[in-house]
Amino acid sequence: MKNHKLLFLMPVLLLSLLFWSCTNLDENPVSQVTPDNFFKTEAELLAGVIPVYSSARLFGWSEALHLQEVTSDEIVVPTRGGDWDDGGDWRRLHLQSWTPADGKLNQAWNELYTGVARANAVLENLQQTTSDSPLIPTFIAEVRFLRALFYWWLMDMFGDVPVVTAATTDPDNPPQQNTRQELFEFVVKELTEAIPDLEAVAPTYGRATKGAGNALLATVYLNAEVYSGTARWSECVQACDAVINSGMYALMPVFTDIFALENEGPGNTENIFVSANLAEGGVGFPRMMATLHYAQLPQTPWNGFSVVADFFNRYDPDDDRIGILLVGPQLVLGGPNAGAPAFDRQGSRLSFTVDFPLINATESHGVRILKWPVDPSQNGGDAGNDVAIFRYSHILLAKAEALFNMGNTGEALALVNQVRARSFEPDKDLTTLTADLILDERGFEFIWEGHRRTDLIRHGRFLEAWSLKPASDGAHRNLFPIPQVQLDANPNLVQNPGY
Amino acid sequence: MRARIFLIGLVVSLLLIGQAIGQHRVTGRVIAGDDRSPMLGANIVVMGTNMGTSTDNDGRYVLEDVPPQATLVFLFIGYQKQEIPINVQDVIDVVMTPEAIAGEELVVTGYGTQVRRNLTVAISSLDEHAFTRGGTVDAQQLLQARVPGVQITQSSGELGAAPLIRIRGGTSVSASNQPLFVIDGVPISNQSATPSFGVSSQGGEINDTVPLGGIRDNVLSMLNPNDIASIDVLKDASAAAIYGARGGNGVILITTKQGRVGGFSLNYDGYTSMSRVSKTLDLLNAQEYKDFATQVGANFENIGSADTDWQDAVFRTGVSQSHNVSFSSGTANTQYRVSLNYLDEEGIVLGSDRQRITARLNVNHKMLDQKLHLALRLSPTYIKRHDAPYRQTGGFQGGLFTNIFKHNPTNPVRLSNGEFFDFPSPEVRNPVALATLVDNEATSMRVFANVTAEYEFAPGFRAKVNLGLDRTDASRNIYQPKSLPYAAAFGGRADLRNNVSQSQLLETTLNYSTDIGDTQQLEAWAGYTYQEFDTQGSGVVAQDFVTDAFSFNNLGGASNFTTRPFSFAEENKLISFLGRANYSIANGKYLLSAAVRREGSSRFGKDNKWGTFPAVSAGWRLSDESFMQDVASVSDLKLRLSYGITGNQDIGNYKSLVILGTGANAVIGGEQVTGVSPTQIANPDLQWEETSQLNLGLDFGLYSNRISGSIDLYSKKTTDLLLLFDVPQPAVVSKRLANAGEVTNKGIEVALSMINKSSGNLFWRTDFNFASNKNEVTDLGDRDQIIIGRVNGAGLSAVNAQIIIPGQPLGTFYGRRFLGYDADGTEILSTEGGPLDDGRFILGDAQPDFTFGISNSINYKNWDFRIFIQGVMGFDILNNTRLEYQRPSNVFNGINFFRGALDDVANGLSPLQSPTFTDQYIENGSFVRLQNVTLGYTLGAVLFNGQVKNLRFYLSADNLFVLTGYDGYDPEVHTFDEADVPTLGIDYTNYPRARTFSFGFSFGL
Repeated sequence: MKNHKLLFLMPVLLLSLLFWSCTNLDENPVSQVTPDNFFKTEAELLAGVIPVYSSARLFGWSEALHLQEVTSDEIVVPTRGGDWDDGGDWRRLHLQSWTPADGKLNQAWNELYTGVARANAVLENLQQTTSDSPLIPTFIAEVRFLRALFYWWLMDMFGDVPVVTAATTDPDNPPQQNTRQELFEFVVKELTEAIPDLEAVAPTYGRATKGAGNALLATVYLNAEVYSGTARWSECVQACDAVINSGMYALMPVFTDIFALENEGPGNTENIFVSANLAEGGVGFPRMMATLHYAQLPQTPWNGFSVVADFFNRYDPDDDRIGILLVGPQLVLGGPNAGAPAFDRQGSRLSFTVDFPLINATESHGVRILKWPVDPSQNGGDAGNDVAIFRYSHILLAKAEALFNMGNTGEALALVNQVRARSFEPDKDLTTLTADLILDERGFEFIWEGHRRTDLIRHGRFLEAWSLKPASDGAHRNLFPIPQVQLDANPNLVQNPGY
Repeated sequence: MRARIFLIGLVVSLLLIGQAIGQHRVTGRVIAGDDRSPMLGANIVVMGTNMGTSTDNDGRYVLEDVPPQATLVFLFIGYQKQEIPINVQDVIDVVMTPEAIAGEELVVTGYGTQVRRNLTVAISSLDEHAFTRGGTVDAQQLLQARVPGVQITQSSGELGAAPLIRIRGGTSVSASNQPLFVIDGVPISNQSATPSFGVSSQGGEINDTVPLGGIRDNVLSMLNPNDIASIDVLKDASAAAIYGARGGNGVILITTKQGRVGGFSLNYDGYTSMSRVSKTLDLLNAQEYKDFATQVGANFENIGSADTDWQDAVFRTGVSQSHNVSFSSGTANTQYRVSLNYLDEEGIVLGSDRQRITARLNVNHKMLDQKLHLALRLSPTYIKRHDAPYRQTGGFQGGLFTNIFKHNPTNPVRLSNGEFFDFPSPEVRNPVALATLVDNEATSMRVFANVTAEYEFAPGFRAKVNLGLDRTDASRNIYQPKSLPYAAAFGGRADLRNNVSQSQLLETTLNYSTDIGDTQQLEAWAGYTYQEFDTQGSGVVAQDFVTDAFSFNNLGGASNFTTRPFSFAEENKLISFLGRANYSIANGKYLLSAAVRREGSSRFGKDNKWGTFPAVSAGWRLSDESFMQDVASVSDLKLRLSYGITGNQDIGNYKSLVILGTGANAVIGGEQVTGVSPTQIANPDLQWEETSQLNLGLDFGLYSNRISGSIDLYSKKTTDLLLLFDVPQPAVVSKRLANAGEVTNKGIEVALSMINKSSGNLFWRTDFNFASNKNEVTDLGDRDQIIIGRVNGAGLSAVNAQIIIPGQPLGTFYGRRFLGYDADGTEILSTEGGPLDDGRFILGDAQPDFTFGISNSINYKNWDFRIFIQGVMGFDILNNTRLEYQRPSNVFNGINFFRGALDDVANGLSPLQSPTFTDQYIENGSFVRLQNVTLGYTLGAVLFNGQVKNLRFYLSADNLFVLTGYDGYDPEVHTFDEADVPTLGIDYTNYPRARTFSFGFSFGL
């Protein structure tokens, strides 16, 4: 009997001892990593910089981009039957009747601040690394530039927001709000410090350069009066000159060549900083899907974004730039049937119209934008078109506007005509210059490139009435409200006036 | 249950072995009057002597050397005693008549068993007696609506779809509300290994444009229902606390059938069934569609000349078959049971089918003077299934069901040349082509195995080791051929995914039981458990195939691999120390029990790894008190009071850590470069959700237990809810999981069983259950409300239908009220009022007021008849399908709609308008369902010289009818939301339910 007990109990005891030692409940993820075991090597540090570039892709497609464009006089998303109603989100953007509860506002806030948080996280590691790689200072400068880019749109959209540079935020001790002027000064300081460490020529295509830094600095100075209360025209001119005098950039001779797929890469002299895309999941460019009709691509586009009728009607018919707008009878633009007539879902020839209602629009209502050509390798909704965040004509027109405001109309007029020249055959130079003409020129040049709301506000024109939109209900619409979700999450935030 | 009393019978018969005087040999068979099944362990005593025996597992007995004129007494608890004079007969067969619902059955309590009469906690049990006899496909059918307080919602009509199970209401917002399953003592992970498309295993969206569905095999669908001996449900926290951090949603214990002492027996049960969709929706036919198009002046150009009923084209009669063979045998020391089940099912929708093969080997062996008990449970299950290509949510073009509703009835299924009709623009798809051409195949192989060894090393002391393994290897392969217009855009696409999940268990326990004096019993045990769960998976996508002929079997035929492959691996573990003591005073008049589990989970924050889950309970058998002795009608009366604390740790792995993940990629130098960035915010305090529950119960038996039942009142409070909170920005992600908030559930449950009639040829038993639960969110921490319940459909992005707000239950519908149509035919909606004063109101909720089930079983001579009715009353459903497809404006897009839209137009809706989400689409979902009717006939005579026994034929009908005012396919709905918070009661393009007729037969050898 005793032997039986031993026979049985021995293995039990052994087994128990074996597992008894397993009271360690620490988690050790194997297909993910923790900060403790990462950011050690140069390659790992680069892998930490990439997500900040990934966040910069929001300048190519994001709710933040929609806030800058769909609220403007350029683009509107009409409700077509049941499509694009989406709880009235798109209509509220166009009518400027958004509220702090609007999900798109909160998403834009989160997109931009996620970029800031990623930048802060990797900056801490870059600054503390023991690696003596010569690439580290460049990485740091690139991340600071990108963070300044996010803060630029945050102050542009929301005004007074917190400036945080620490790697982590304690949820129980949330950050304090800074004034829009402090943000302006922060962005200027960051750029001023980062630009010397940025490369003049991008080490690899897609990374930020001195030109990018100066282009952002010029843009921030261009809007200095809105952001800080004080105009900084001459600083704007200086920053523009830094780009122009670098000798690295020139206008592409033909407007559509700027966007042509074959001109992507370092050979495009006009692009200063791009959000690069590939026809692959996660890094694709979906704008053509958003605007084209269902039947125009085999990938079944979404038939949404359209040009505001007043804006379309303002184009000079001789302006080549109108060529990117699709109006009237349409063709299939991609796939095996490319070039064939396109039909709507009832079998009628698809033909886009200029005028349309905001709700109950039909599938053929609205002029569409084919600024970025159809990518034949488009994969699902992901196309490979690169999209410029800053390009050379923006610098020329920014300098023109600054000079115009400084009273140097002659030089300003020359710069505007320099940009116009490639789009008119024969040339159709302006002979006089007004602020409105500069604003119009920027519109024709940069439609859907993310500048429009900022430009309208700088020119004091954002609150006006235009097609399908009455005049705004107050000057508070020049800023978005701080999203309610953020007010709830951070009690230190104070809502913008008027909301 | 009869089997469980076998041991008692064994003891009795051992006592009786002895001085028999050889005179006469009597053999025979004892059969139960209620279901004609052989009775195991019935006692046969020769009157006036101490001679006797008991029956084997085929109900047979042999008595040697009996006086030829003696009288035999047949005994079985719960059945009428029978006295039969031998009168020189050699064979005496007996049919026993039930007279009471016994209270002596053993109840599985988690790490042990207990006699029901001594139970002090709320455990409901089902055994073979309560199960439908024949035609059962999945184990959930055995449980649905049979236990008060256990609500099982058949979420979809898809074959083997996972049911939504709520024990005493939902307790959690973000974590799982599913109970813990324990099979033969091994806790099973609720996570299914079967890959499902649309959602990645880690929650992310895989592909937004592809209309694939694919359900995941669940624990219940992977068991052979014929192998299940009993199901015990631990409902109150005192019962479930022994499962600690996993007991918060209740526990379902499944015990499989064992071999029994006795000769070899073999049983076969097989059936074939036909299923058909139980209801179709009311879409316009071709003429109505043309008429409406003419009436509103819609574009007429692409209207065809066919008249297609797309529902009819996609639905079919599914023919299925099942074969089950089991055999068993046993000596006093070794018993085994082996079973094999083959199921071949066709869905009622084209393109959906399932094959399942389940085997099981259960062996018990006693050795070393019967002091060492060894047991093996081994059950592999293989499932291969094809799923119809649909997604329930999102996707502008949608899958199968969306296109059934959308496709214009004037277009044909096929062209005259036999090819499928499809629009050149793939915006509306031919659903028959989708179902026929997309190949969506999933396979899984799951093995449940455990070995236990229990040794009595000193009188009253037993040590036990339980080693368990649960492993699933699953894959899903999908090919979308380029012959479909939408898939031509990417040249055909193959998706291959593999998942493996495995858990290992070690338990060691020490048990002590003793009698203290004559009237007190003490049983105590303590133990240690370790369980580890590992999952891993990978996937690859290939596009642009040279031919469709390879399907997903040769990726070499593809030329586009730009979608990145992925893989992942995760693990988590649980370690516990646990113990329990049961103390019985005055022969069970007073019962006390206490239990505790100290459990650590790797999933929680480093400052909160360990939790303690205690439970206490007491019972008072009033019927044993002297003052109750005179109340003759009360045969049993027991009051129970229990309190316990349980936890819920079902939140996924690594949620408390800062995690650096891949995925935030960018294009640098013309190539996609992988970025690594934080994807989660740390919370070192993260812990389990904690549920405390008080339960007051009354068990009663009346009229010699001809009526028995129980009433339970409970109040449970769940605190430290795991909720996602927005964090102050900047932050790498916008939300963080933290513990805050509180949900309460209060309710009453009644279970009642009655033997209405029990005489020679007629037996009639009724089982009734009723439950009412009130669920309420009482606190959400810093959050005032959480808006959830994403409404699906074109133009309905960013529209939500539900709110979680203190004072209301989970699943509360929230939205604007419809006030009428204005002169333009636009909807007028409420714009002010409501909890947030934004015109949105509480519009109802998806929690039922009460549920009930009534089951009647009647036996008359050789006929058996069972009828089972289920009711769920007083709950609301958002009919999201109707919201999207009852749109008259669809006619302008050349797509069809529900006939109800014609009424809306008659009432003033402009045909140009698309209604938005309002209270118009909240419907009362109350229903009464005739769940099952079975009629069987058992051939009394023994066939083929006794070789074939118990030959029974049966006809069975499932889901024969539903009484409901609900407009959709079926009021039992649930859409699994892919966002943060699962929602309840939203019906969107669900796979409809079937009505099934089965014919089967069974016999034994």
